[in-house]
Amino acid sequence: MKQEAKDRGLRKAMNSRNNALPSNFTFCTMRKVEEYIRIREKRTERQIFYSIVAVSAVLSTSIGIFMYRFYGDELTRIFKDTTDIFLQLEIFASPYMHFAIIFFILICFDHWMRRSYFKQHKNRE
Amino acid sequence: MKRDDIHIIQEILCGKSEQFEHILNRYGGQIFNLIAHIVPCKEDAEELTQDVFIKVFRQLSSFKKESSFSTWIYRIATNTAISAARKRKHDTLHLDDAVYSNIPDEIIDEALDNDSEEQLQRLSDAIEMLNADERALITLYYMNEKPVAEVASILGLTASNVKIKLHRTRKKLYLILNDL
Repeated sequence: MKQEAKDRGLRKAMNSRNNALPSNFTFCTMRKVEEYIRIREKRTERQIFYSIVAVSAVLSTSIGIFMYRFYGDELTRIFKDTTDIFLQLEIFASPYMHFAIIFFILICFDHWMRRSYFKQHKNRE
Repeated sequence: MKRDDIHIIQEILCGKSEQFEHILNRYGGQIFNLIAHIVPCKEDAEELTQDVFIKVFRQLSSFKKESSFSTWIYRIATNTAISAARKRKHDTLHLDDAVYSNIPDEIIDEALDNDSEEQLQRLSDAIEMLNADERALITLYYMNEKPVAEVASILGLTASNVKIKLHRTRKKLYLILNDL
């Protein structure tokens, strides 16, 4: 079926509706591309971070199990001797120790809240 | 495929994403024109054109050079535009198969060959009544002047399928012209 020499009217009707892109199309699209690249890099960083955490956890656990199996008795004796020394000092019996622990927890909580707040504000900007 | 396209793609895949600007400048206008003929609204066409090029960038590493880069981009653009056009309900004309059978080809040829001002306007209005697939087909064939083989590759059809669909679309346009 040779349409090349035919359908002049249809061809002209199609070509009469030529549309032009806005002049800033390339600029706007490149900005979206750059944003996509940035998101992709962040995702990759997060994946690497979680992989490192997972591998570290596995290694730490393996080391812990190894140490317990081969040096368990020695480590238990050392830990017991250390805790006995602390208990003899009666530090944990003191009420001030409770305040010290609560104070420490609150400091950590305050630090974490401040970090979250400033991170959220930075993302919004 | 132009050698420049391969060179630019390789550079982008090596991390020089700024080279994608050359792809935008080279194909932006053509793709926008194609999409604007498939999707009724110009603003939607602009947004879809941008979406197409973001998809192209994301899938650049999966381009296997089995077809030309131009064909690959056109395929993504056509599929995106047809999907979008189908989602937005648009008045199109549906005809039964029996209606197509008794129209002589000469009469259709004459109607579509007529390039008077009045006929061009009637043809423009008739094209609006086609569905997204039909508009995509005639845009690729008549406006972009792609050969049948390339149209088949873009639309994921065989060459004979494309010829049959073109034939039916021409008949449909004739029927719409006669009813208008």
